[in-house]
Parts: sequence; C-alpha cells; structure tokens
Amino acid sequence: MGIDVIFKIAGIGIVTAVINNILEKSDKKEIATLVTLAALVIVLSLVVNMLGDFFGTLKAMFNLY
Amino acid sequence: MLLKVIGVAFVTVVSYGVVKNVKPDLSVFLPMAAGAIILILLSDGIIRSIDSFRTIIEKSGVDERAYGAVLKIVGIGYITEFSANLCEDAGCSALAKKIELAGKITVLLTAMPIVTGVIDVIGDLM
Repeated sequence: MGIDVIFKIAGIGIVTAVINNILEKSDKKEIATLVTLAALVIVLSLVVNMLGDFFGTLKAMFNLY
Repeated sequence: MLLKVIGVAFVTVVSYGVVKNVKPDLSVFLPMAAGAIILILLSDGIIRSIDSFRTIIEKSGVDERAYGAVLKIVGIGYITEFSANLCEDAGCSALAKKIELAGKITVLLTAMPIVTGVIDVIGDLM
C-alpha cells in the first residue's frame, strides 16, 4: 500500500498509449479502442478496490453508519 | 508522516502530468488513488487524536452520544469534501455541488437527534 499503485496506473496508461500508436500505424483502429477499454477496466478495478479499503478504514475510524 | 504525504502528492502530480497528455481518460484515477494512499498514511494520526479527544470527553462527563455524533459528522464532512473535490478536479463541478448537498443533508440527519434532545432538556427546565 503505497506509491506503487500510482506507478501501476501511470505504467498502464503509457503502455496503452504505445500499443494504441502501434495498432493505429498498422491501421487496426478497432483493436486500439478495445485495448483502451481493457486498460480502463483494469485501472478501474484497481482503483475501486483501493477506494473500497479507503472507505472501509474511514468507516472504522469515524464509526459511521 | 507529513513528508511522506508531501512525497506521495508530488509523485502523483508528476505522474498525473505524464498520464494526462499520454492517456487523458486514465488520468482521472490518479487523484483518487493518491487520496486513498494519503488517508491511509494519516490514519494512525487520526486514530490517536480521536482517542485523546475521547479521554477528554470522558473526563468532562459529557454523554457519549453527543461525541459519537460529532465524530460521525466529522467523518461525513471529510468523505463529502474528498469526493466533491475529486469530481471538481475531474471537471464536473455540477456533480461536486450535488455531493456537497447530499453531505449537508446527511449531517443534518445525524445532528437531528442531538438537537431534539437539547430542546427536550430545555423544555423540562422551563
């Protein structure tokens, strides 16, 4: 639990951009959009898990609901 | 602890800049992740301050319910402010206003029993 999550998200962003460029050069635009979608889903699940723990700690700390 | 938070914030700002012009649609997730990490870094400090407040409250003899409600309101305030600023950063400030409205209503609902309790006490005194 630290900065590695941020680096992971940045890395996924950069890798997707590179893959998109390659796919566009070899004129396979539809696969490029699929790659972007896949990256978005991966990062979304990563961040949603983190937000789940985040709200869990908050709930435990301030004994909300 | 503060330096760690500042370090995480700087790293996030740099990577946000990089990801923003490489892949704009993924750049929304970075502030979220940074917010979560910073809170987890601060969590032991917050817990310690809450416990010290609790000991003061016990000494002063105020009943536990009021303190619990105050703590809950502080928590609700923090969550609302966190997500409202996140939405504002992402560009949709209308959504941020909606979240703030929801936070205000939740705080009102949490504080209502305390207010009615105080009014009952005043009523009895009359």
